[in-house]
Amino acid sequence: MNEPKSDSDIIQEIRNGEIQSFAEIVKKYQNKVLNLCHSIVGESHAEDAAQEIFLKAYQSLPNLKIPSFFSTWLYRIAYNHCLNILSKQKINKTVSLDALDQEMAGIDPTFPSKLETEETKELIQKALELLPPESRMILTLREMEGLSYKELSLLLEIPIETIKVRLFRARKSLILALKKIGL
Amino acid sequence: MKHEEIEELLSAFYDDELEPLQKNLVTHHLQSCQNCHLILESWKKIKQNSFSQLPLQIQENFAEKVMAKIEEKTNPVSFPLFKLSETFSFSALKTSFQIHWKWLALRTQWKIALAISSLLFILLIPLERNPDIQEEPDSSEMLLENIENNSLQAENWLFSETEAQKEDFMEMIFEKHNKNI
Repeated sequence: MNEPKSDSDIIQEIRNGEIQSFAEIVKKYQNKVLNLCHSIVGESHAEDAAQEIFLKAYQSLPNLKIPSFFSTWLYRIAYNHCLNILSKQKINKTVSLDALDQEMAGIDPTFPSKLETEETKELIQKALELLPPESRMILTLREMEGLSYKELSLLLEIPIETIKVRLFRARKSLILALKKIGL
Repeated sequence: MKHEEIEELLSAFYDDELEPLQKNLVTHHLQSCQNCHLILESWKKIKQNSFSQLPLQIQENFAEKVMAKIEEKTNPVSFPLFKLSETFSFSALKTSFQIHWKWLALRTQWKIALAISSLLFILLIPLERNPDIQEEPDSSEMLLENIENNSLQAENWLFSETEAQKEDFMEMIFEKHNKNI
């Protein structure tokens, strides 16, 4: 039984002129990229966004210095692309970072149980849309994709301590946003 | 440690990304802080309710669509007829060349460069002397040839040229004379 080819092998084939080998890369990562786009930009734009991401990845392959880091590099392209889309979307209000000074103190004991219902799902989505794009992105990458702090640090090229702070602020903002929309 | 400092560690504690010492501190704090418990519980419920959605149904031909898009961008000649104007635009050709050139392995790039250089070298080799083009004859020889027909011209030339040329001309006259003899 043949072992599946590594990213480095496939990229080498592409660099030798076998452009069709890129289809193997697409098939390998399409699930992750599409689901990432789906969770960030919504179902209606997910497929277009994912296609653009793979196209950008193909065009930028000559700039990839270490093929074994392809997945992190692809995520980075996806991150930047989705961030651009989010930034262009009209967001009337975002949760102000100043408001983070508000303590999360005095949380209603029934608050967690309210978050279990199907109706709350929509409210959580609305609250996510109120977050600044970077906060929404980092939260999605952590919660949806399960990226570790180390992987996030490599992806976003920021120190792990900064990842800790950003995730904390994103989660705090989300709670605040939920309170703001009346949950 | 202050409550605010512990609270800042909650997120990393939730993600199990804390050092053992800090983890113990937060664990100890949670034994007596109901609010921090509620915060952790809230994050857990949000994740379960919102971030655990079913994977998107992926169309079977997604990869084909992507490759078609790549083909469109990198191979302009496959465009439909109504896009021919873009096909032959300089920017499309330039982009296509740049993308394809970058893709070639270094050895292949060298081979192509060598082939182009050789071709240019061959084309720039000076052309053979065109037999139809005659060198302008030396003025002395021309003059000698026509001297019988136009002695006046010869005489004028003789008095206008340099001394060296006059000597050459005289030598030729003598040679001709000697031959006739």
